[in-house]
Amino acid sequence: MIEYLVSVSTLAVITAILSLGLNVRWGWSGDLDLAYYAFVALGAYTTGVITSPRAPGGYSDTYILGLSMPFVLGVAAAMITCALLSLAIGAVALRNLRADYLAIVTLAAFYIMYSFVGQYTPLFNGVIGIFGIPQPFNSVLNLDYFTYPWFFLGLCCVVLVATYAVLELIYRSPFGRLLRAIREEETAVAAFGRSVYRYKLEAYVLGGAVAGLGGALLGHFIGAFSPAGWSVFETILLYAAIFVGGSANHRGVILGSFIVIVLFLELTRFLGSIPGNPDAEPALREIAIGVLIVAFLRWRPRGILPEPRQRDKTPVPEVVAQ
Amino acid sequence: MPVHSLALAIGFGIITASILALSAIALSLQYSVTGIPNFAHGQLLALGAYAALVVQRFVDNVFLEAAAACVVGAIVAWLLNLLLIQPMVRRGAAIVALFVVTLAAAFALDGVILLMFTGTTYAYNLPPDQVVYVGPFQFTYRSLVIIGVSLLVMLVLHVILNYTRFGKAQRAVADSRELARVSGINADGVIRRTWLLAGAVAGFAGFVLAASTGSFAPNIGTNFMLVTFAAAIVGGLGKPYGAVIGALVIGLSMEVSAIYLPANYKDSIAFAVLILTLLFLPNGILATTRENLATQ
Repeated sequence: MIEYLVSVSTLAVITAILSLGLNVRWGWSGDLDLAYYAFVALGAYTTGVITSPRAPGGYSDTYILGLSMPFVLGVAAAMITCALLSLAIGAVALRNLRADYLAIVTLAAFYIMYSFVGQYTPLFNGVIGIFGIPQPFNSVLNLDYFTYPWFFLGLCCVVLVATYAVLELIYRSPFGRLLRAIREEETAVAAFGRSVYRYKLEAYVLGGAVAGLGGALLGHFIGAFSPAGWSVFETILLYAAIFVGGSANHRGVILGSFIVIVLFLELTRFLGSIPGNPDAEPALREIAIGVLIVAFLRWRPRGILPEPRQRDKTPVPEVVAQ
Repeated sequence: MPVHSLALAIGFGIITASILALSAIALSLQYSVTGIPNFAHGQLLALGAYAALVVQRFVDNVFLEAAAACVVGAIVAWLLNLLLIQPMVRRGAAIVALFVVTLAAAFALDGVILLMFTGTTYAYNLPPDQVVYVGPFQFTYRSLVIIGVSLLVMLVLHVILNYTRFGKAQRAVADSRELARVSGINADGVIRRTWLLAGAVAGFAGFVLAASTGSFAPNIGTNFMLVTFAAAIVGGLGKPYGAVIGALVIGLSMEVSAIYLPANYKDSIAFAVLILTLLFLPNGILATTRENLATQ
């Protein structure tokens, strides 16, 4: 039981990191990005091929690199790779500055990446994927099967707190303010001579880097990653977490992630299964997430913890006030 | 009689394009009037395919099956608009929130299909097919029927759009909802009927798609929806006539590419064409050069 709780908590913490990254794209700059989980997957794959030993090759498993490098370098490589790919995809998807095109192009980009990773085995071992991704720091710590999960949960919590702190700082910075201004009124920002495209692209890249970070943790947590582990549905799950918690409110996003993950994992325990239909479980999950999103968007569009209203703290000069 | 592989691929391309055109017209028509890309379009296709399957269990009549596909597609699309989209539009929800609602509806409908029919692969009972040669191309009897029916549906839609009061009202709402309203057009009513019409065409397209592939599973609509979006955008999103040309471009490039690349990359080719179009002709190939340059 306790092992299960540690495992669910770890997954919830990693999900919270992932949602925070998606929130940069959706909550801050208001872009409906549907490729997000492809970056998460890329992060998991990247750290996998950096930290794992060289692939046996031949008719057996194949993947690039296989450098047996430490965890920290794997995470760094994951973040850099995802940021670079975000730059490329974002540059195309944001080009028209049209919300509908962005959603469709990112969805198409997701499927291109998905089919490429699944088909082209020399990259990440195709449909079989990468497995045996090493446990971070355990070569030094040598913790046993029962203690290590606690250590990993602690590690994920530290990363979550750090991510939260950094994103909160950026959110309050002039850059974050500018993004929110773009979200509210793009034309006004453009009229002040700012490049809407450039700032949206920067937010897209920042979100991609966080996806890489969370994806790397996810890869090390599961220990394996294959095309079975990522689909558009996973992205939608993260959106559900953001809508439930409250778009652009970081604490809300973390809360929403915990709620959605627990609900998602425990749902079938309450609903039970339908005899004769082996697909009832995923079916009920899909329906539940769909209903949850629609209900929140309709009756509580700002989520459980709405985004706080920003107030200008600098005193207004008297001449202007008059 | 040997058929050149390119001619064979072009033949397949025309068949794919004619099914794709049906699906893309439905998507584009609905988009032109409402401004919302319907991410649940794939589920409308799937529901059409399953509706026809259910009817076939009772009566083996192709007209009744087609009618069932249309009716189910139309009703679900109509309800999607009436229950989920219109109330949110009335509350002044952001347009992106409406995209998310159609996406959420897509997953919920997927779940409903899985619950009702499980993930099993089904197939229609179809009469045996026959190869037919037309010039350098090789078709089957069934695929010629599909091409013919698809052309017929396009003709009917052309007549509806251009020569009926409803079609005129539709074009007016597509141009400007406000202007249509002040000239006495019931814009909400036109939008409701547009969803009904687009849903019927989408359900029918799903039936045709499933009949042409032979067997189908719940994910039948998902992949085809993305290719449909590609066709609709290449033709210029919101331009029903462009959708036909987009369908030809996408259908032909998918099938011709399969000569040179593994067939699994077909869908990726469609998306690559889509992304190239967005880079160089962002308003689609039917738009004027000026329109395209203005967006860049």
